[in-house]
Amino acid sequence: MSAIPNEARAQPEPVRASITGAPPEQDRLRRLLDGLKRKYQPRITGELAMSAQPARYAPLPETLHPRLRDALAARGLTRLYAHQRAAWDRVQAGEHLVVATPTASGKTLCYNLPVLDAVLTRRAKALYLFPTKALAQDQVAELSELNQALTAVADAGADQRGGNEAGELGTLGIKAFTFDGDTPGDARKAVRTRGDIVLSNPDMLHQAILPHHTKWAQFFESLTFVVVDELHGYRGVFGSHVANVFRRLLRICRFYGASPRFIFASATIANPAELAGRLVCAPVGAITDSGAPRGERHLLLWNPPVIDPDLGIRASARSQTTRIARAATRQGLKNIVFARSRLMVEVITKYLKDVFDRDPRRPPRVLAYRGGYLPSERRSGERALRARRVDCVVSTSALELGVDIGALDVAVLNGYPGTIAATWQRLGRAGRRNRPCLGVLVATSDPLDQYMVRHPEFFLGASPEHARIHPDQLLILMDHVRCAAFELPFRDGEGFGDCAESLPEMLSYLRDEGLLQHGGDAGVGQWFWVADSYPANAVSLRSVAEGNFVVIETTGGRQTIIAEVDYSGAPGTVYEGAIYMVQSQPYQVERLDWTGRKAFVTKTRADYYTDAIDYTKLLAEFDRQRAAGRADVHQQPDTGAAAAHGEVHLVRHYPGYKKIRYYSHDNIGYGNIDLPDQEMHTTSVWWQLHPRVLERAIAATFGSRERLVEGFLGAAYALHNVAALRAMAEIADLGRAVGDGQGSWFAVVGADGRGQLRGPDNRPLEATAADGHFQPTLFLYDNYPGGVGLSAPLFDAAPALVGDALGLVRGCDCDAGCPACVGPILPGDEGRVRSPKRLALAVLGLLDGAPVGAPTPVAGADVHAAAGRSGRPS
Amino acid sequence: MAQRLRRLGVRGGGEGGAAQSLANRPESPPVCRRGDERALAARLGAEVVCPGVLRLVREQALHVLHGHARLEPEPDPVALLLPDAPLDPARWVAIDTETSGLAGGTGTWAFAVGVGRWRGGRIELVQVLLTRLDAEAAFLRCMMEELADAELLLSYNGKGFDLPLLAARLRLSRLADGGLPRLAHLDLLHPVRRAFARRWSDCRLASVEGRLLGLRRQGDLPGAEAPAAWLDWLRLGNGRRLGAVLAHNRVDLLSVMALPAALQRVYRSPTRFDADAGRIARWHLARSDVVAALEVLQPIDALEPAARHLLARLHARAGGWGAAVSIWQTMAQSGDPEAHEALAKHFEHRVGDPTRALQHAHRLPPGEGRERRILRLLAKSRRRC
Repeated sequence: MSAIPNEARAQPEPVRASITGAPPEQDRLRRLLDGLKRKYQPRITGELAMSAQPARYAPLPETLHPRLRDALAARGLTRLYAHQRAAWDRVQAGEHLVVATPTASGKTLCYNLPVLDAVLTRRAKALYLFPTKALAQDQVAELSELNQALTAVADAGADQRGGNEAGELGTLGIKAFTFDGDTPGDARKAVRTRGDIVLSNPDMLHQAILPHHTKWAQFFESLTFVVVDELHGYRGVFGSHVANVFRRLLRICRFYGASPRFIFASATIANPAELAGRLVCAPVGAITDSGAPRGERHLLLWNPPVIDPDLGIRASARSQTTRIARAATRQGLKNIVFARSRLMVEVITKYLKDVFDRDPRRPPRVLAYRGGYLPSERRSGERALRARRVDCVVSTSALELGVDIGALDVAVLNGYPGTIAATWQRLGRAGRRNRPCLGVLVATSDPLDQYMVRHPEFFLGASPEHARIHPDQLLILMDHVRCAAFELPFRDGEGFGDCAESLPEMLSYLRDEGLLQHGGDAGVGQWFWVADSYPANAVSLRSVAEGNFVVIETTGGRQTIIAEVDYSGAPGTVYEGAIYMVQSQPYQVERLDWTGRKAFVTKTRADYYTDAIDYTKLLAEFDRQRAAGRADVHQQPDTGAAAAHGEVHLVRHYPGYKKIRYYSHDNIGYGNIDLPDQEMHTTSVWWQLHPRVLERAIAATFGSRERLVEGFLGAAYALHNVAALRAMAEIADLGRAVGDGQGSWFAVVGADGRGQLRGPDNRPLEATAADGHFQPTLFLYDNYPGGVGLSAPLFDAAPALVGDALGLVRGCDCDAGCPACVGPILPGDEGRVRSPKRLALAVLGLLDGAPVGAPTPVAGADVHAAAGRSGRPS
Repeated sequence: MAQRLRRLGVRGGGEGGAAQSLANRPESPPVCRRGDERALAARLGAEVVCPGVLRLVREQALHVLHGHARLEPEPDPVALLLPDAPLDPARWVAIDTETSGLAGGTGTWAFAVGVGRWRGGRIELVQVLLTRLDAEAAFLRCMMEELADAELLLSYNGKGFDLPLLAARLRLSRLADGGLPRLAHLDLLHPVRRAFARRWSDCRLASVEGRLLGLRRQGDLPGAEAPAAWLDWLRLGNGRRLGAVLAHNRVDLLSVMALPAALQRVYRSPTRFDADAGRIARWHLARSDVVAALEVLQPIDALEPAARHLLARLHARAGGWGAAVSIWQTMAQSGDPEAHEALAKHFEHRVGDPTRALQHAHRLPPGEGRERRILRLLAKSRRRC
């Protein structure tokens, strides 16, 4: 993050290796790479090498404020990288801009340079937004360093300039303040009235700044730049909320006669300009070509070896990751390990410390870094990393953000991070200028991971995902229309950003709810807020609707909040009797106050964890939707397979939970959950087969309706996973279901590992009893109330998805099915003629348009051949 | 759209959350009826300044008591509570607003502003009422005219509530603030809190009236109902309760005007009013007025321990050790540890009598300080022996 010191170091460095006599990193990295490839060739499923890139420089702009130029020179910076200069030129030309260049390419200077210049020359004001408080505080530290340089320059030049000529700023410097939940009340006024640069986060903008904009009037009147760092994080629900916050921000700016330019900084995603453009409802130029130098880069895709071929069980990713990190550390290479959970960070750290930090008298060589640590602890870790006192750091995604830790030689990813963009971002932590670096992606047994490492061409060839937002998602939109109406009355004819929904209808709805009143003459009237409430307080940017639950520890009589749980996650995690874990400390939920949104827990030493049982009824109302023209359908007339997209209504019921013992994973008991059913309206994509095809397929391939349903369940499992990949979403952002869509039956995998039909009351149902209309439907739905726009792109890509799923299942090394393809199976199932894997393949084949009874090739298929077969034209 | 929103369960409410769900929603959308402004003005005895703005003037003779409080303008109490206050009562203006709620932020309206001032031998109360949402700018201009010659504002919580709210409304209407935020301002909530925050369960104006002004409101509309009264007018054209809102506002204004004199009496002899003499004395001290501080700390019997200690320290600081020691001794007899500590110090350092100091040191609460002091005193008394 500290662009300036980095830039200072950016000048060509002399090659010191020959002087000190130590083997240069080049050689050590080469040795590590060669060693890994020699010893573990079968585990390496893909490899990529990228050659080094030299730096491209450009001169500092002629028009740069002289004091800024001097301050930069004082810090050793006398020229820019080409992209930094390009950013300057385009900002001066008045463009909104997004800079999407790799980690550590000096993005910060791209926005600091124009902003500081404008503050010095025009007394402009700027708002910086970071997704977290810590990043804003980092940036203030950086700005204040530069500010000191500015002030020092001013002092030195004061004599020559004489008196007040340099203006007030000459003596006061530039004032950069953070404004967040920690800013004390008495300091807030100073921030509002005296800050040149205010560093905050979207949540504060939403809840504290915009609803009180009159207090910020001075600030808004001079607001010239809005800087949004870490743009790539503004996707999904959060991004959709923030797009609406920006719609509100821009309304307020217009009220004060300001039209600020936006400068975004982003890690690599496929569509930075499009995403930024959607956030500000205006065209945004993109700079994606970095002028910063890069060393040679190597990337290995690594699949742990199979240790039980029957069940498709592989060695753990953890064991492989620690092995690679050990080898790198032994070579004296600075390395970082990314784990996907906080728990895994602790486990891997322990294993590495057991090797390298056995002597407590010596400074530690291995460091853990994750959310949940105290800020001071994190800061000291960052300092140790920057000072290169640590050889290996183990981290969660916490270090994916722009925290300055200097550059490293090796990055090991314990598990696929879920998106290609996040993968490159984590890999980007390794790579110093003019030095080679290595990244290793170690696959876990999750389907996504397995798909990735078995389809190296997918990963290596794919561009990073599109970050998608859906600002017009009705629930989110209404939240912000409400907030906007509170902030300033809407005028008749006014729009709300590029919102496509009818604003007058939404405002009328709010009037009917008693929040607004329309006043003034027709056509020139306004919608005035008249309710006694503060709507922003009820809207969290990080979720859709409803309130979060707080987890309150009551051990020892005191009440301490220890965690927060999303509304949607609450019924499955904090039911009474549940074991809830925080930093691997188990707590038991004693009482759940559903209406008060509180779960009361006490510490426990239980030797088991709990897993909620839930089932979901899904109603699609096919006929009504078709009649209303609301569902879109792709029909393949020849084969009778169809995909459709529309609205669904879900009812989720939680009858109870299982107690599962650690390590052995034995089921040691059950408990009841007594909670209201959770209802949700959302959007879904679904697949169906024509009844005529079904009948023939049951006769030719499946043998019974039960087996057919089992095939649908396996196909749903595979589709769910490949769909998450396509949608740049987390697995939990999507839900899946198999049923008839009418609520008369749905399917689950029973305790015996076989597909089961259940009636509306969750009672087992004979498949034959589901008479008359028997049309199993496979649903993938957007797992947020109202949907957040995930399912529509899935519908557009429906044929390709089925192809992807076929590729995943076919390419899996297991025989009969495993967690990496169609879901876990029971040991007894391997020998079945109609294995879950075969059944799922048959269903996917039919959905793909294959004729009934077509052969379903299964195991032993080599990865590339399988990938080739799945590569349908889409 | 409305159907889709209802299906998704969109609620109008803000923080109300689940509690004020669809159940509270009126079955049919309320039909907005614009009330007859002229009829309302006639009923309230107000003039229509311009469409949407009513202005109402009432007078009150000075000899009429407000509760048992007098209403004459008195410079002394104002000067006591706000030392730099401009002293021409003709330029003092009491101000109080009625608002659409307490949520804060730009969504809260001031729909009525009452202004009270002394005009020769009477009090003039002027109230401006907003009857149409799109007339706010005119409403605010009308209010600013009423405040044009003010040099001092008197209010109850005006600094924290009314004035920031008015500043926000002026901004929203793109009007200048007319120097309002910089005007001298005596917010009577602060001296009331100083004197009674630790004595009363709350410091609402109604409580102050009951306790200090001897005023019991009759048939008063509770302030919390003002927003609903205004909304009734806006939504249904029903202005029946607005008269009561304005009457309530006028009582508020008179109370604010009567309060300085009442508070002066409290500040002169706090113990008579069961006020917090200690805090009032410290407030005097912060203004370097030791004499005033000493005056309020009496009689000693009526003071709580903290105030007595303060008094003892003041005596000691002025060299009045006899008075100080006598206070400490009285308190020490009832086991006050701080008094024992003061006496231990006094006898050790000032009198040089370690034996007597030791008696008090033994009465200190257990702890490191006590042990150290005792050891030191033992050593000193041994040396002396």
